[in-house]
Amino acid sequence: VLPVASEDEFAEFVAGSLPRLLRFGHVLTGDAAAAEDLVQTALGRSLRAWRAHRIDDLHAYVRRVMVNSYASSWRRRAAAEVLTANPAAWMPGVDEATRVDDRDAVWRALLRLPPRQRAVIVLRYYEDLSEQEIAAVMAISAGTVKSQAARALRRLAGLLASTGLAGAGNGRSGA
Amino acid sequence: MSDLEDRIRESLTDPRRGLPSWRDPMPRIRRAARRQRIRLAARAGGVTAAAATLAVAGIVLVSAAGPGPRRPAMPAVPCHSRGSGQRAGLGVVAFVRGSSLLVVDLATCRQRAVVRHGGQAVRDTGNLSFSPDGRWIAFGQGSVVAAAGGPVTSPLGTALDAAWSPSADVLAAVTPRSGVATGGPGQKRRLLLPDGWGASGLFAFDPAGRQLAVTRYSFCTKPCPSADRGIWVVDLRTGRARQVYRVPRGHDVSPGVAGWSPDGRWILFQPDPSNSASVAMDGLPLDAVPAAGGSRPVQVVPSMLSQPLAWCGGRLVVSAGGGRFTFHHKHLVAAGPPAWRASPVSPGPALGWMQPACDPAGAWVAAIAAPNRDVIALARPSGLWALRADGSAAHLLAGTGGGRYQMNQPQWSADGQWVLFSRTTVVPRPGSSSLFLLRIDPATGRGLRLVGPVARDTTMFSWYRPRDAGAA
Repeated sequence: VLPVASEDEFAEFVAGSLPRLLRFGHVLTGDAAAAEDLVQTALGRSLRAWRAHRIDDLHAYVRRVMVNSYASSWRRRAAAEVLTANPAAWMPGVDEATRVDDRDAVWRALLRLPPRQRAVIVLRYYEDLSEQEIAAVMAISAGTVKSQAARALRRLAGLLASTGLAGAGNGRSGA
Repeated sequence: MSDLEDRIRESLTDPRRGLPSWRDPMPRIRRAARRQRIRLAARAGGVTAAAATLAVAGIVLVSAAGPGPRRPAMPAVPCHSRGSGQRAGLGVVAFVRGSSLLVVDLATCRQRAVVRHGGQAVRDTGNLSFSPDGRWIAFGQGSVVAAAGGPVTSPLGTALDAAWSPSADVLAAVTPRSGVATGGPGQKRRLLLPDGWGASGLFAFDPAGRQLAVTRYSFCTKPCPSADRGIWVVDLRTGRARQVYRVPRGHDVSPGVAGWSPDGRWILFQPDPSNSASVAMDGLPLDAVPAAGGSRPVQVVPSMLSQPLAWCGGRLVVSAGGGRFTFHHKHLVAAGPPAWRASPVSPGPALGWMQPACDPAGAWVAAIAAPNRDVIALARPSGLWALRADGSAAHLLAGTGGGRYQMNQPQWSADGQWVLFSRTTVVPRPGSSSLFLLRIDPATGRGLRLVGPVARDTTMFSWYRPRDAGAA
């Protein structure tokens, strides 16, 4: 007998996962408001699918909807993104300042990637997914994941080099 | 790990990127889900009004199964893959593919041909039905074949619209010369009513299989000897016939028998005022008359298209409303004896409703619905819905796949846990039909699992449900 999908279960999942999803949305879109929109859209779609018993792994499903919604709908927004750092309440020390600058530079460079490349990078370095797992989430081949990742890293290296911050993050040289 | 990769990781995990969580997120998510659903419905084209009306009415559609999304709401599980244990006892379906007659076991999904390349007799069959014990299949003009396969016989000779008794392997049919014959596999043909008697082709066994209600009508010019016209009940054992309804003198009306009430006390019929196929296509009244006779008929609905009668317990549920525009102004009503006062079942006028089918417990109605518009098209996209017999809790079970599909002929399993239905492709052009099974949660009426196709490229089909074999 199939388990009956209960909305309470879904609400429990949301309560436990929302901070993580919002953060994932933020690193994916690069914008707090866009992240909230993305999470809301993804959870709305997921709720409908949950009611129809189409979901086995809720977290994986929501992440997949977020990535694919972002890749398909956020293209123009991402390209037109106005980049701002928001250091609110973050009080770095002097040594820390350089690292914060570097994080922001990398952040800004990431936002200049095409959405699919950015999604690959976020899934690889934020979610720690393998190439096969990324391929499954984005419904593309592992080969495409590899090529998108390679292009993204080349582009990032170029962008950071042009800002003069290549290799500045950890006091190491070169990328 | 390169330096660049480390820097990306650090940037992405920068603690400043966290966002405040939402307080009480579920209402916000539910609103988002509702907006998406309405948007999807509107995108499907032409159903904006329906979606808005449904939203206002508070009707909850099942997830993405609405008319909007292009992918099926619930991915179909291949018939043979798993869950066959759950389908044990569902029985077998006979179906026509091309000019062949096949059967499929719903537990195993194994198919076999019963009649291969049967020509016109199979291809154009307007009648396909199992005997009550599931051993025989009637098709074409009185042809019979064993469900296990074997020679095709015609126990009644050439016969129009043969129908099985609900209690025995006995067929009845109107003969080409307007008599009524009975018989069956291995039985001698019996002329129950003689040729020339005036049987019109519309008849029905009573629920016990002991009597036959027959329409008697013969064309004549004025002055017309109409005294014999009407509905007659024939005792199958004695052959004695009695008139239970007489067409009023001077009226040229053919009272087409539609069926019996489950308790066998009422006969329902559709009086055709001019015996006109054209008029009938616009809908005819449905009347009820006591099977004992002696009383005037009671009108159940003023107009409805010809359809099998669905019974939710002792109450009749039909798609009422006239007009040959499919779905236009068609709504579900329920009525029961003795007053037969019809009350609405389907919610609101946004959708037109057809082909109701009641679950065995009489709690749920499965039906087909499409936007209530005057469109002349046999191939209109339509969805499969479920609603309680009192009309509440209407929800979509299977959508149109973005306007690609038309659902047809929902039927419930004997245990009320499955609905079998036909899905026909209508876009980009009318195409083939496939049969699907949908597992239903009897408590909520919601779909749990879609299985199929259990048969492809079907035209006619008939379902033998063993647990209700022999039931009235």
